[in-house]
Amino acid sequence: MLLKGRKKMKFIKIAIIVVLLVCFASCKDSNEPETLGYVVAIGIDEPEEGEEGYDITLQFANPDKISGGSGEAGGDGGEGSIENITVPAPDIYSAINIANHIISKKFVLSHTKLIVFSDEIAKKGIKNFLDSINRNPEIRPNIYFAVSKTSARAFLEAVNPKTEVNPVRYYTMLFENDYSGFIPQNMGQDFYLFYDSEEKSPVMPLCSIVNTEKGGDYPDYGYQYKVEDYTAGEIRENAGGVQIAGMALFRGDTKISETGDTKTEIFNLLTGEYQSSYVSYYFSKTPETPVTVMQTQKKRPKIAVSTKNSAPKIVVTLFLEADISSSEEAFLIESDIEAFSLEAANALKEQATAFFVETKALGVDIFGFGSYAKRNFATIDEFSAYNWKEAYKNAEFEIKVELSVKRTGLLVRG
Amino acid sequence: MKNEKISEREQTLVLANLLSVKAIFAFPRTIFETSANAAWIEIIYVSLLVWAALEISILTYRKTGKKSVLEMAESVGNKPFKIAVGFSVALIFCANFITEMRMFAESVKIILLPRTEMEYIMILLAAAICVGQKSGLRATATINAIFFPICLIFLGFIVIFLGKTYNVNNIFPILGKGASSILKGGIKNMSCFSDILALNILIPHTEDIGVPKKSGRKALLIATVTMLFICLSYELCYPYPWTKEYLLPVYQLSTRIRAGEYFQRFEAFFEFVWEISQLLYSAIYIFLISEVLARTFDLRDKTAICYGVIALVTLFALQPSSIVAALGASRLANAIAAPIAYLLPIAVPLLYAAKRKKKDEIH
Repeated sequence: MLLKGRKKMKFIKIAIIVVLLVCFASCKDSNEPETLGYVVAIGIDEPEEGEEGYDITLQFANPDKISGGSGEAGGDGGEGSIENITVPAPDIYSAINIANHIISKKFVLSHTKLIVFSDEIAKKGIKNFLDSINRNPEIRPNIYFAVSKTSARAFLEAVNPKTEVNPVRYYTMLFENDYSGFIPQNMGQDFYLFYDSEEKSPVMPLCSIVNTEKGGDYPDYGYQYKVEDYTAGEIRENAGGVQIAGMALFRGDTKISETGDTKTEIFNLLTGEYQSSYVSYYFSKTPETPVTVMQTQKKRPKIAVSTKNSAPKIVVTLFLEADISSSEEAFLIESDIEAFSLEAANALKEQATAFFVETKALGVDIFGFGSYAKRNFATIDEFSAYNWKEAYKNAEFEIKVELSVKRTGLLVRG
Repeated sequence: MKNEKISEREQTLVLANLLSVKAIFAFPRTIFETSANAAWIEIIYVSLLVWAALEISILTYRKTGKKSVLEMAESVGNKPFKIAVGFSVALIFCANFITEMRMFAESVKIILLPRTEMEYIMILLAAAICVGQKSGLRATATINAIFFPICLIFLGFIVIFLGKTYNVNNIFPILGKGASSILKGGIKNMSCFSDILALNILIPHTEDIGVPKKSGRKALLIATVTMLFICLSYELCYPYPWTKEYLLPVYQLSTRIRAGEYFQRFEAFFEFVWEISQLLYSAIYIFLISEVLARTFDLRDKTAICYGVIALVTLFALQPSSIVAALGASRLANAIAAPIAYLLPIAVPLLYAAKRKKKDEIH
């Protein structure tokens, strides 16, 4: 009888363990990877005439084409690794819902890397999208927002990641290129953290498909000398495809202006997000040939903002290091390094000041100097009463550039 | 009733878990609501207030010895007073625990298991607590002493890996909404450490009276440092007013970690810390509630009421109709429970000491 009881208990215990194992397996929430459509980019356009809502393009990865690596024999590179579907919908999630009924996959946003707004949408305001992006636990904070100068759909359809098998990595490489200053280095999350803020105005990278009919302007400044001030799409190239360069400036959630790549680089320098890139400088001793350096931001800029009166005074110190990459063959740059450093620093100062004046006129503090101004106030109410956005229009700007030329490449002539 | 003894280290970590779990979950946003950027100052202020309350209650130990408020209440006002105090303590624990249980289940549903019913998640949690209960206080405290420090190390990783994302300007204006908001908000938010009442209930489980003194102070220090680091990291990453918008600050922080191009998606770190600490927290709380009820009614074995308590607590946790209602209920429960939680371990020993003095005088 006792044995029978023990056996019974053993059976009950095993049964409980089996039931718990089944219960804790979370099978209900599991998904087989081949049943999922991984949305890597979303494009938002104005609807066609007479329609309401938006035209939403979902760009999703084609896992069959991604398997293996680009280096594997017989691989197609990244071609065909992405597909696009455009549906009319009032918001992103409705678009996903509709797309789920068209494509035999369940669309998920956990690998979404880019959200592209068309220029028209950006000019009207994107507030409504920000809330829905922020609420969804599937969407990660490290996505990128961009404004497309063409329609977002056209941009996404032109994307063809030939050199990258993985489309997510393709976007990461494009938007987080440490060796380029022509794209504002900020994540989408920065946009929704600051679009409604008193201390900073947000920006977004500009993207476009190549439009070779248009070209950039040669600015008169010595910084990026003889490099045209392009925005996305204007760079002449023979490969076609898409371009990301320059940035859109926002007041609140509405696009008000845009700048070219040189100014974007200065933006990155002033915000401390710049890493390194090749920069061509005007040098009075070789006016026809720019001196090109590999420029690196040694440390984040030192920013001090004084708010003693209604016209704040902003002082920025940049710490840059440069290695000479090319100069005029007939001229010994090595003998005039000090003079070059000084001229280069002045060229950068001039260009940065001009850009600051431009943003002042627009009334948008895209550099986030307001965040430093907050340090002068004890409470949020005091800072609000100062009205930084208005004060910024009267701000004085002083920039100091500590640029030191460290190396001259493999040549040391003289 | 079996009186399981736990060591000083185990007691310290049990208390530290009870005090820190709120910091790991939703509580930081409550502090940002009252003090904005100055949340970190408010935490220091709150911990000083709680420290003062703790020191006062520790002072009474000299007169009361190894007696918890329940035993003292019996000496002061016999059975009726003991039942009143016992019920109050149990209700405070329930108020603290029920809302945390609901919030945990809701968060699991939002983050991990969106298609699973919340009730099912809660029942699974209740089943896990039952297993913890079966093992007893000693086993729970020992497991907690192993895992809670690991949880703290993982939290430390989150704080360190976020270094690149920190923006010092976010802590300015330094006083946030102003000094008066910090002072008023601090008193309101003392509820975050109201679990300190558990120290008194655990007194009979310690070897000598020196243990609760030391472990109380150490646990409060651990909890203060944990909460301070979480709040500071949170506000260095997110500017106000966003700090008061997110439901789960530590989860939000873990999503921002990027250590290089490939080392991302640190949510797993958070989920580990979150689930382990919540399970241990729940097991300890159910033990405490059952222990209080068993001692109040002089029951020889509390096993039977344990399961009843778990069922009751689960049912109550399911009552709020939505997460918004659950947050509202949590605020209300904290506002009612916190003052009593701090008053009981001071008032009852004082009454006990007064009664004993009177008795001595008569003798």
